[in-house]
Amino acid sequence: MGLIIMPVCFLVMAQAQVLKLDAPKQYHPAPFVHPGLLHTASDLKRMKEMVAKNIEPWKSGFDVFKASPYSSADWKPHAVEHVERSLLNGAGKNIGELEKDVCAAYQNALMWAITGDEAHAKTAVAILNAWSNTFKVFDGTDVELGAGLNGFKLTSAAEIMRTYPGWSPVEIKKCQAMFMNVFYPPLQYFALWAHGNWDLACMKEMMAIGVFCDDHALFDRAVDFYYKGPGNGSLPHYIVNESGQVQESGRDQAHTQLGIGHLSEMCEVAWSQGMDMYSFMSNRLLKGFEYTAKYNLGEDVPFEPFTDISGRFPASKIAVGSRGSLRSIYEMVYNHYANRVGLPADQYKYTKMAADKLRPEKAGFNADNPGYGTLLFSLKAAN
Amino acid sequence: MIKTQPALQILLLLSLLFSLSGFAADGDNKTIYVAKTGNDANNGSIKAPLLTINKAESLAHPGDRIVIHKGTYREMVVLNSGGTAMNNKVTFVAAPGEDVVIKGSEQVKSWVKQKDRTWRAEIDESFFKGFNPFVQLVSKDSSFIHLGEVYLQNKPLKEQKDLSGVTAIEGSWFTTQENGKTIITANFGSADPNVQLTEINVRPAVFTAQKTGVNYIVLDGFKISQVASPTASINGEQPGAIALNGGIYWLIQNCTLSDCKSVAISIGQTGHTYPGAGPGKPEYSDLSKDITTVGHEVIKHNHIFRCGQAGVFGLLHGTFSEITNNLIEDINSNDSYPGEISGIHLAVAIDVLIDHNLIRRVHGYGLFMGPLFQGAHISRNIITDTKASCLYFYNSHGPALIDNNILAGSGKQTGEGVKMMSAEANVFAQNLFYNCSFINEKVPGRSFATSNYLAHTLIIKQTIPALPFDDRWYNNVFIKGGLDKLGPNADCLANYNIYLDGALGSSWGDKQSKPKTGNTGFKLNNTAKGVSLLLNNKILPKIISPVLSPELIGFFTLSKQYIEYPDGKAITVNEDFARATASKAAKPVGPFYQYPAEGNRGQLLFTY
Repeated sequence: MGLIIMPVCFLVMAQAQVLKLDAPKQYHPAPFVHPGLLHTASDLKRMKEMVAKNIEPWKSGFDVFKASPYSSADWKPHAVEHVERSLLNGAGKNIGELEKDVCAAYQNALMWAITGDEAHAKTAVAILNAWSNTFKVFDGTDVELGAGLNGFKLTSAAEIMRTYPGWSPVEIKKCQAMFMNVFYPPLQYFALWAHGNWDLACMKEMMAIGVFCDDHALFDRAVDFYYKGPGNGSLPHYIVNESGQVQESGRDQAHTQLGIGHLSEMCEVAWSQGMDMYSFMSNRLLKGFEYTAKYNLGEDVPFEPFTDISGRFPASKIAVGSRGSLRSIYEMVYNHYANRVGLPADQYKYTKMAADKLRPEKAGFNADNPGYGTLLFSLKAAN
Repeated sequence: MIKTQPALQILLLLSLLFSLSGFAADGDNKTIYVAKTGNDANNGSIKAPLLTINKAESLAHPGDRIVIHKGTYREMVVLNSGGTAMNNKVTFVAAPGEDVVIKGSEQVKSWVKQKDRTWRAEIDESFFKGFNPFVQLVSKDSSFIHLGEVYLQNKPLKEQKDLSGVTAIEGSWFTTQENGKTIITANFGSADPNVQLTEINVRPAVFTAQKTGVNYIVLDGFKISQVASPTASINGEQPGAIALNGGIYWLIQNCTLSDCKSVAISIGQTGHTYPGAGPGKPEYSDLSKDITTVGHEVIKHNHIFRCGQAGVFGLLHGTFSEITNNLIEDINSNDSYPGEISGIHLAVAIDVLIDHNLIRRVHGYGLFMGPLFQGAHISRNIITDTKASCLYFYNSHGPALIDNNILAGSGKQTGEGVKMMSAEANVFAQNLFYNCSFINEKVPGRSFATSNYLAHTLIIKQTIPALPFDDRWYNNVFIKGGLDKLGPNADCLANYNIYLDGALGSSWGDKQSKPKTGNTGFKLNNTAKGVSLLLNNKILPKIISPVLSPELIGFFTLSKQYIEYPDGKAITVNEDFARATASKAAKPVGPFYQYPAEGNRGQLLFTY
């Protein structure tokens, strides 16, 4: 019946979205690599060396990163027992506190890895411990987003800090318990009724918790959803055709960039674990980036009127909302395809243009995406 | 059906034995007696009963029982306080075996015969004690129809829009106001209204909570009639012959309610409209969020008939309630009541159970659910002879379970049978649909911001448009009308259904379903207080169906729940209409795992 509500549709809708709750196949039976989310040990080593040697583009990337208040070792955590992310008027308890603290934890973890300054390690661990000891209830109408976005940054911080000798095994276990008991429950069923960025926030944090807690079942569920999940967040449902149109292209450009950023972060985590999710469906991810970058750089793109897999969000034309406001998501994908895989340059033309334009990449919006891609994901020195 | 009645009798006998000389006391709790021979100056003991129920109410404390003896009481019982817990209720009960009639009417004996065979009564305003139903229209849209009614020998007469109608039609009346008096002109045929019992309704309710917070009340065994209950609205006032006014944990059983102008039993609370509602401020988000503070009513084994608007009606307090074994019939029977009519209409009714009710002869919808009925369980009801759809589901994200019902729709007459408007995730299992068309659409012209809740709570989780999809049909029997109207792209699931007598399955599902031609002989044999099913069950093809487990029915991703009981336990549909349990997968599809042997005169479905 979903078709009745939209004027035109080129895609045949599937039957009712059915979320299978049984375990999918094993995608990663081998022990996880640690640290192994967005940054492996060798990635952190590269950043450290390049920054120490003032080599571009890392140097400029580090300059903007270091200037962020969240990179300060003086950051004091503001952990609370109850956080709510909600759309209801007057709701949204403590979500701002959490968002700031997760950014500070992640950035201090990276500051420690890059500078070796233990003050940053202590700050990162203090934030992680404060929340592990305090945080009990995560709810609200938009809790999937709250748990997914903030969880991913906090888990990323924890995954880096697990190698710090000053963070005790007992504290690490407590932190793992927090992710399992507070962050995971609200995102365990994804968000199939919503725009794809919701599923994706859940997916990337589920994957991250899987790695940090060495829980392969969680990791497998998230990866399985990327390939064939019944929601808008799976790759085939999010980047909906070969031209690279995104499920949220008809909504606005900010959410579109948010969502493809999430997809790429999942691919990067998988890469850290020795898996290639970037190349799925003939580099469909890159096509989504190219389409989105091209449109936001001012050029025209084709748009097929489209109703998403949930049937709730028909779109008849591409959305101009927030067009041209490039988000800090391009360096990671550009570097993967250009400098790791070495695809022909015309295949990542617009992604490179966006990365070039933003360089050095600044913060991701709130806790949405990691940002600072020039520092974090550059693989090749500037000429 | 009346399982409680013998138990009550024993209890009352015991209480009589132990209290022959005064109050029957159980600890601090007492029994207060009311009788037509009583006097409100008495103390209410068995030997010195009170005269009015209101006086008894004023003396009752939590845990007390008020036993009312036979006779006709003409009063509106205003409940000022209730009980405090399930084991500390205030109970109003008819003395066992006695007819306790409570009327919202008064007798009129001042009729003056007119030249044209009609009779005229002039009634002073003081007669009405501040509430005159003969000056109040049922609604703005009701043209001339007033809340007032005139009854001859307990039968309502028909209101006319002018005097000439009264002259022409026997059993009719007309009202007007002259010099501050209410004038009623009526045509009683050959009857003398001053000799025969002639009454007019004058009270808006018979039992009404004076305010919200009157909880834990039991009403048991009364015959309530002739009540001028004003129109109720989900987004407004919700009066009724019995009006809970937001009270919770009420038990209303074994009562007969008839000739209530609008609603018989209102379990709602006053609602309002929500201009400018949206995801940030959804409709109904200002209602209680604590499920323990709402609903939990039990409405069972009542006979409701000849009421204008609805048998049972209400906003919010259908939540966690049970409406079972009621006979609801002849609603809006003269088709004069304006607006939306239904046997039962509940909104914001989370996890409500509507089980084994017979709803028939409704000039409107049989069962009208919505907005918002997540977790509703609609089971084993028989709904027939409705002018509009047997089921009308409106504006909800579900999920809801509709199982083992027998629905005989008006089908081709109105094109309706089961109507779903912006109502998603309805699971139809083991039902028998006769002549039911399915309508599944989005409410045209507007996009609702429809809320769903965290499962089994009133905490709003998401507020997004509700769309016509995610419905499921398993193991149903369709006769004459099927799912074919739902179009080729219905985003729903259907399988293991049987389609008979020209009913057609869906084009998108029903891979293991079976069509069959031949005469089913379907007939609902209505008797005065019940109904039987006649069906040539030999014609039903056997289908090997998997068990309707939560996994098969599926997980509802928006509401993050299976079809579940209120306690959160997932439901496997493995009982039939008769509560027989499926022993094997190969069983007849539909509401009966076993049909009676041939030669049976019909399968009794319901008797009051």
